[in-house]
Amino acid sequence: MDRGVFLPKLSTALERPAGSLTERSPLNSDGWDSVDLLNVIALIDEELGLTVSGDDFKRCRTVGDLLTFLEGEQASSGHAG
Amino acid sequence: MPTRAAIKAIASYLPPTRLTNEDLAVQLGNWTADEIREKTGICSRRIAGPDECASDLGVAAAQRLFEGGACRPEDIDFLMFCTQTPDYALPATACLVQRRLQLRTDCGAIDFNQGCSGFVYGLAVAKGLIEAGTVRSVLLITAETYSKWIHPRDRSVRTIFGDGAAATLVVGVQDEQDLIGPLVLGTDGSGWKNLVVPVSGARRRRTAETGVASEREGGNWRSEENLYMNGPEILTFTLRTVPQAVRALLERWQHRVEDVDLFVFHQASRFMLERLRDKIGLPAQKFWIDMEECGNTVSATIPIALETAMAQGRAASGSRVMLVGFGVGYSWAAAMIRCL
Repeated sequence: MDRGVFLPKLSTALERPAGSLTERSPLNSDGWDSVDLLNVIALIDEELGLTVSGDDFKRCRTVGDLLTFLEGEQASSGHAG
Repeated sequence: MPTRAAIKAIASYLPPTRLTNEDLAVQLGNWTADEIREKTGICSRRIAGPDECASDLGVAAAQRLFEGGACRPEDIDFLMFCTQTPDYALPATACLVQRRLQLRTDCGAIDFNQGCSGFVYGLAVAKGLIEAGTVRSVLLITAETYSKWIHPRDRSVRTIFGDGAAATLVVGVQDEQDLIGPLVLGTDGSGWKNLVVPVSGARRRRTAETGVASEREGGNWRSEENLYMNGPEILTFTLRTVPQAVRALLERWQHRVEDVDLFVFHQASRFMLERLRDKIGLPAQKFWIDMEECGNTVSATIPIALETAMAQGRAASGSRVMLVGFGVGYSWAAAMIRCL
């Protein structure tokens, strides 16, 4: 996954200002509303071809954790980076 | 020539009371009318009155079918009534409807409890009954009043669901080709908790506490006797399951996406339909999205959409239409039909 391409799209999905999210940003997915969750699930499916569930986000403390998790999922499902 | 089951006619009925986005914006706060429309694709939905039940909506739809000249009540051999809000736990609502429509007493009648996949399941069963020679005609009524389960301060579901019904006449005709079929069916009960009314049947009895609403996630209020929907989990299920079901159906049919004239999926929400359409790679001009004036009417969305498509000439005689229902259960069903 190209993190530099994906991060801004994640910002947009969470309706944050462009560039406000870095890998160190806390994910705080408990604070997301269902619209955020829908947008992020749809983004991950569209960009990475992965279907994840809301529970997967709870295990990630930071945005970096999420990206690492997604890269792991890609590797094990045989999707190209 | 073999007898094939086919959809002959569809008539819908929506209750008169409208709940608009403007009404919801005032009642719920947080969202403007435009935001609701953007996020859901819905401008207004119809709500059954306190004295209007699924049977009333279903009877009205069937009466429209008869008035349109598709058939007479005495021509019906079997009534299937699909609802998740029956008038009573027993007797079957279909029996009440038989009486009100004055169907013959040697007509079969059953209820079946399904939601978003209900219409296609109904076609599967009607096809079986007709092509086995058990009956010559089936009246399939899909009638839903989810509003009766929904808490007024639960934004997550109040914006989405609407009440409505459709009556579909399925008959046997002589044809070399399948007119309903092939079909693909599926079930995954591991998702049962994600669209549920927790206290609504024999498993959990009502108590003084179960009817008391409390504030939940996102500022939504509901009690254990209200509808609960985990939208994100439903999205995950949909994205995982529906594309596979569509592929399986195309394989069974031995045709390609290009050979389908129209795709009519369960009208869940604009967001979900657009994601699905793009993920599967279906052409937008053949992909039906219209729930603006009625919202998500659960098992009635597909026949209501088909009725409109037929009226507009988008599903004309000979058209090959793919129907895909998916949702509560989890349950899903997909079918190819050819329009008479």
